[in-house]
Amino acid sequence: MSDSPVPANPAPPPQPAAAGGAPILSVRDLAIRFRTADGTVTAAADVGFDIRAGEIVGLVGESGSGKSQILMSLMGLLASNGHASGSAVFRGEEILNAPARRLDALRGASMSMIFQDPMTSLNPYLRVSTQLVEVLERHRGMTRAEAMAQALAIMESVRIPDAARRIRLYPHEFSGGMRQRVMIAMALLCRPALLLADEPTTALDVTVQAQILELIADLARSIGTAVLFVTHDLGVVARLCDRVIVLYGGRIMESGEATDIFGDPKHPYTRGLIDSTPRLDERSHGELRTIPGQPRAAQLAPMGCPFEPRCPHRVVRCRTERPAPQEAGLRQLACHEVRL
Amino acid sequence: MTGETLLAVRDLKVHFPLQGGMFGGKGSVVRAVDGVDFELKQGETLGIVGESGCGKSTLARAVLRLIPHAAGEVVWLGKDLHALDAEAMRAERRNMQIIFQDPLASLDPHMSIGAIIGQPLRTFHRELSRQDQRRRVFEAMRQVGLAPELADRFPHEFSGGMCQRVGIARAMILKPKLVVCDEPVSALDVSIQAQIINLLMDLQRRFDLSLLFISHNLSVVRHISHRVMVLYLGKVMEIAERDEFYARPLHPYSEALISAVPIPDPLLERQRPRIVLSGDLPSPINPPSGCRFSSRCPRATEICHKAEPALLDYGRDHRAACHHIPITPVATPR
Amino acid sequence: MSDPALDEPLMAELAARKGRSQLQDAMRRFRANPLAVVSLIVLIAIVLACFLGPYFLPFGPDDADFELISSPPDFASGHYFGTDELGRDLLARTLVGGRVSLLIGALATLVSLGIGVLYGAISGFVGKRTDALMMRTVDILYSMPYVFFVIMLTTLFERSIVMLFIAIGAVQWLTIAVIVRGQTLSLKGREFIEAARAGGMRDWSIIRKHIVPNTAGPVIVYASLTVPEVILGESFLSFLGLGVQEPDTSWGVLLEIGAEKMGTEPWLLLVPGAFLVTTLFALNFIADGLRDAFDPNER
Repeated sequence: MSDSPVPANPAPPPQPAAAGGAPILSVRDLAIRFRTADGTVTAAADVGFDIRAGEIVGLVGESGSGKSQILMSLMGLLASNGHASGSAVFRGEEILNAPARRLDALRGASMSMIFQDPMTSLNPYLRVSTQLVEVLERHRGMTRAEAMAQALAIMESVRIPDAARRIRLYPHEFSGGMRQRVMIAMALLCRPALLLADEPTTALDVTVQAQILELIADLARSIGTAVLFVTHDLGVVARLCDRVIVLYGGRIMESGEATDIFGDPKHPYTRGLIDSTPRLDERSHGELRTIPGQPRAAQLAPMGCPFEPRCPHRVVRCRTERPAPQEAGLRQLACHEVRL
Repeated sequence: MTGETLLAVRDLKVHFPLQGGMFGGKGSVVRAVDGVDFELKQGETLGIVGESGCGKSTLARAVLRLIPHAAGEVVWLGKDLHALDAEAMRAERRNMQIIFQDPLASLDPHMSIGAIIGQPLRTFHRELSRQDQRRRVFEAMRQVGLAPELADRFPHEFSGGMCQRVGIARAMILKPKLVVCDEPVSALDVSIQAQIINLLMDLQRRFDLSLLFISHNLSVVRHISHRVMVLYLGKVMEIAERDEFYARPLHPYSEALISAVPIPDPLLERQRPRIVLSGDLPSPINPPSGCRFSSRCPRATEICHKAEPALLDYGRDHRAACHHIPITPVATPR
Repeated sequence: MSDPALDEPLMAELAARKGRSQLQDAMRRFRANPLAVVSLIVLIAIVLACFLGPYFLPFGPDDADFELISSPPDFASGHYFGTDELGRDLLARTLVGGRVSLLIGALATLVSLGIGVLYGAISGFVGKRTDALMMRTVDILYSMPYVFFVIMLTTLFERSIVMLFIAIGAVQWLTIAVIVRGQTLSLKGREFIEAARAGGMRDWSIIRKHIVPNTAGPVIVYASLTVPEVILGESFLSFLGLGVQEPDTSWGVLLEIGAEKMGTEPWLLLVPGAFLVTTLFALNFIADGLRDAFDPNER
């Protein structure tokens, strides 16, 4: 791979100089509620975190943890019966519930999203070249020729072989892995400061997943894009992420640096999750340790700790009293029974 | 685990015709499974791994004769399944069952849980009274950790993990000898995945079940399988005892697969050597000549593009098909 | 085995609730649709009026009142909707005519439903040559003009309500067969059908227990659209003079007579017309409601 995955272009690059300084994205007290026939359902509450340039943060949780809804709310793509409150400041600008016009401009240029199914962001009836060029013409004001050259360079930078020929194809003519790359190429066109990734490798084979993860890591390193990576796969988190946020029932259970979280998981849920994942390097074949019960869907009015019904260490107050977050350095924990 | 051989698959081939065959012209075929051999003993679990499109699911369905084969034999307790007439085949089905990847899709949305689980009883044990059937259904539900009070509920009211338990109860109610598991935990949450794996292993111990466990998740396969078989474009690349396979993979494709699986431990994970394969799986309609893996293989040389390597035994029943294995095989190919 | 999945509160909660199939869920959604419910009530009222009403009327449908020939609606005489040129009470005739129309609508739909569902399910499930053969047969029948078909039948056999019934049914089942076949083809690839096959079920049992019940949603919707179509078809044929004959009557026959006298005795057209239009509207709203109930995501 060449020294820079994305060729120089006239637009101002995100400021990697800010690394370690002000966060690219700062989320505070984020809550997401949905109006349903049975009343208001809380998909997420009291969610807060920061992401700095070049940092890859993993958002881990099972179904119903609210991880995808958090991403959607940041992109302004919540379903029509959903409402987000709190604040999310992206490079000094409030983006939560920002006007659609402003979000449109941001989504194309400085924050982009990749999905599990690439076809959600690719138009099946247009050639890949048309779709890439259109974005550049609109958000960058490039001429058609400039845009085409830039689009080709992007395709090469995500290591699509024979890019000059393939850029003329339609999305369905690509294999699964290649399509994922096209989507990533599209997301990176304008060198976004923030990339939101919603399980982009879940549907892929391990060998292709390995390629895509490496690609994302490279991009974060070389152009300083901050990545918020949603997944349920702890292995992927361990490979890719610098920091981890563990969600359950729409609330943050624990967060911290990946090495700390995996090396010394504190929260009973984090521990349960790690223990119940079979490992490639394990040698025991006995019963796996499990978390009893089923992940619960979003609750109407949750009290106490959402993990309480499944927690092996629960005590009486876990049911009624929400644990206050404990903090130590980069580490955060919300549990009555475990101390940081 | 030294049970008798339950299932012996010999040179099994499954071909799907592509369009064009209808007008008399010879349409080309997809060789989805192209000459697979393996044996399965009673009480044993054989894990079948490979990327999507490698023929795992097709193989499973051909073993159960849910789809027709093109050539070869599936010998089940001494009988070739594909040679049986329809009624004899139907009678054998009580001993072989299947569990699917998508738990909800595998349950009829219009039937209650109890009716779904009891269906095999109504098919094979019509002599049972209603009460006896219901008793057997409750017993099967308890076995898989479902409260019998749930028998009158419907599948769409259940979570994925519970639906999968229903599928397992349906598969277990006739006490079969073989259960084919087609990616049974891939669609489940991590914490539920572990529950289902434990359940399958527990049922296997209790009923001396044989499992064909198909998965793309090599970590899960390591946990549950006694032996592992790697498929690539319809061919067996390697087959070996579990720990032997993970500790000493002989085939470059197996090596690449194993190295691509992330381990949930950042410190370990960041220093593991990694073999990143280039590109995706080639099309099974027109596989590479010679060794099928040659187009993506880091070890490939000229011979790999010309001659197809045979599946040879490298000792301790560890067989692999590659021209570039540094040790010498112990026996001639069968 | 001490099973961790036995999440006691969840299990208890699930067990306490009453089980609801998708069909029951659909009915619940239907009940939540006021327009559909009102339409259903209207339809039931019309059906009851047609089948029970004539017993409570002072006039029979064939009783001629020679003193009041072609009289307009009149409360004093008791002929609330007037009389025709033979002095017969129009309300009585409309209600009795409604019996024929509604009966043909319901029966022809049921018969075509029976044939169509079975034909379509078998064609789709067996597939290959059988499917091709069965579907080409449908195509051929489709291509025969409906009216031509009826004229042929009525010239070959004696004209009767039964014949009308056969003629309409013979055309209506084709569409149902095509719909059910399409449904069957998509169901056939579903895993629960594969599970049934792996479970040793015979093809016939699979069609009966898994395929047919799962086509119920679209079939019910289509059937509710077929009833008005059949009623209209009967009216059309009777209007052309190919259907029900005097002194028997139906809404179609009444409309035919009414249309002739439109200029001088408009009530003869308006009364049966109002009944027919109300019934058709009600049936269409019910069909709409059913479609929404079975396809909640398509709204």
